[in-house]
Amino acid sequence: MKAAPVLIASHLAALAIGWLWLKPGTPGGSPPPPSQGAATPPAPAPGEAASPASQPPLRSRLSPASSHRAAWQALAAEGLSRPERLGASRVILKQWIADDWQAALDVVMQETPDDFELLGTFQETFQRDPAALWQIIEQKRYGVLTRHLRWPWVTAAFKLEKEDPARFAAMPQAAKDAVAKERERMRVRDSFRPGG
Amino acid sequence: MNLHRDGDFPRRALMTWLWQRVMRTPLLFAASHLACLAAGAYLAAGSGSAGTGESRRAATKVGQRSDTGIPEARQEALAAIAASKAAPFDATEAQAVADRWSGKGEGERRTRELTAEGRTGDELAGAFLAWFREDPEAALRFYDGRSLTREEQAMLRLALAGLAAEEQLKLMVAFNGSMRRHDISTALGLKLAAMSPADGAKVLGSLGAAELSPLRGYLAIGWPADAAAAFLDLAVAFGDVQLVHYYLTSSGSPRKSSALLREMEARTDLPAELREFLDSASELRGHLYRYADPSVALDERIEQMRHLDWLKDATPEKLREGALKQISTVDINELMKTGPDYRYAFRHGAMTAEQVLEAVKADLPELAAASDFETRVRVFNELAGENPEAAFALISHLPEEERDLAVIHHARWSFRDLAPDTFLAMISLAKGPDSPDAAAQRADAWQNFTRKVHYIYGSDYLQWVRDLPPGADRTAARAGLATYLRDSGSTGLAEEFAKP
Repeated sequence: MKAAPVLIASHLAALAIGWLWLKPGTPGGSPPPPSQGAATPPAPAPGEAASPASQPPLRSRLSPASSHRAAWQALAAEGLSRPERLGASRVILKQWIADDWQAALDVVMQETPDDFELLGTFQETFQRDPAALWQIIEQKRYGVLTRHLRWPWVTAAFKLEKEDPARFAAMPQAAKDAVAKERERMRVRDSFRPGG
Repeated sequence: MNLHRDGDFPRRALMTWLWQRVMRTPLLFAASHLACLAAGAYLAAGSGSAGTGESRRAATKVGQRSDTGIPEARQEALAAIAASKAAPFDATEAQAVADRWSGKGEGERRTRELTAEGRTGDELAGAFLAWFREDPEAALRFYDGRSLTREEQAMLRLALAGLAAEEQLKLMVAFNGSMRRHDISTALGLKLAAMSPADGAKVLGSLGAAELSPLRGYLAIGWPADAAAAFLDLAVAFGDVQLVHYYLTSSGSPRKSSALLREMEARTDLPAELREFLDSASELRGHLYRYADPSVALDERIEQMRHLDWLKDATPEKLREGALKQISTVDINELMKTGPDYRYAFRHGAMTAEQVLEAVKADLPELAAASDFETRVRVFNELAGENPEAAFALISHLPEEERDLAVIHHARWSFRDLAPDTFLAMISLAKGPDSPDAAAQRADAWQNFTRKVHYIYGSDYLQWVRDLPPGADRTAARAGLATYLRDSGSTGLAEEFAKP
């Protein structure tokens, strides 16, 4: 009967291994794609001790895009004033832009035009990648409302032309023509101003 | 084996059976362990929230529940709200940093370095403060010509608050035509409003009349909205009626101007010049009572609106009708701008149109009691730009002609949204067929809209109109565009759109 405790222990160990293997937060715990079976546990993040029992951050339960979208939606039920809501929206947008700026832009462009002041939050992104923004404008991604992206794009293109002429030169000809046209329009406008 | 020996018998019997059966049969041994493995896995899957049916039912409509019980989406939203309200830097720490960078040119150098590195917070605020103390104009110029972030606005507020009022006034002169002039005038307004009128008058007197004259409007704009009495006292002490005139007509907020008017009416010691001005400005009085705070009795506001030229000969019924239309438009629009963001709540399904209406009635009970119709129509006007079909529920019960006119009237006079698709969806709610009056109003609505949006959308708007489906709105849109293009000198395009 000395083997009885061993028997019990071995069965309990099997139970524990089964539970740990498929508990939430481990790759085997998330619904696997059809082609996969059990996955090996992930390597610990740098500086983090490997701990099969550690829970992942709550946000990882939703994809970043759906998490931000849900938070964006949730603001509607918080009784905020418009300035408060816009302030909170900017905070959500900053993280969303870092995760997926085009998805963030899609959601802003679905709001009413008086909320397009939120486009200012994309300024750095537009300046980093004016070519991608030009593509969106050329495709008229948001129908006639795409026009509201024109000035942010022009501002970004002017900056690119000044700071990185080589990258500007590599842009599509239609984009460069649009910049030249805008520069000429501004020159004509300024010539009518007193002292201009 | 003695099955009846003692009370521990069941356990020992089980152990004996297990030993004899399981350990001695490898297949059973392996199967039993695999069964335990599977049982553990089953327990793990059932306790997680990895998308089982039970956990889905427990989730809220805005996302999964966290371990705290608050939906994750709401957690992120609440965190964003808190972050947006948190001070962007610690003012005390910024002052300490500024004291460290007090050497000549150090504040400027450090501000430029940190800005180039994209760094913010106490260090940048302190560096900027040090620079501002050394050379306010140069430091402000660094942020000239563009809109400011929330942090930059806070930095400028801190810096300007430390400047004497006379110096702030001189800065206003230096920043003629600059966006920063508004920031300076706001800081100056706060300082002057807190001073005695005599001290404030001395500050204004530090400038010559020629330099002060163009600043009057900015002083009015920057003045705190809840300090109308202090502005009046300052104007009287300084002996400048024009200051009052600018505040009443150009403060940037008719409601703010209205508060000064009420203050003047309550005074019995106004200088004669101001009293005469007040007595002669009847049209202005009617205009400002339209915009008065809702705490002012509705009947008083209506009566004072008789001073408006278009109402001065109205019967009492027509006065009330006309005044209520305007007061309801003003009050509900102001509520939507400064109160809870009902439009956003409606847009994203957190409130229905009826719920927004009930909330507005609770916020403006006197108006709601005076006219349910006007309240309902004005709330429709505010929500129609968000979701025309859903907002339509507020007026769908009206007789068809009255309902169509309400829609067309809104399209013509008060539709502010700049999205052509939304305008079309909204005005299409008036299905017609139009009476001659309605047809003329529909045409005018399209013409007004064209004037507003062609400037923004240009050739894209022309194509949008070309693509409109047949109907009364296509006809009216083309006619409106033809008129606009003709007036703008584009005769070729005008001819195209003049054709049906």
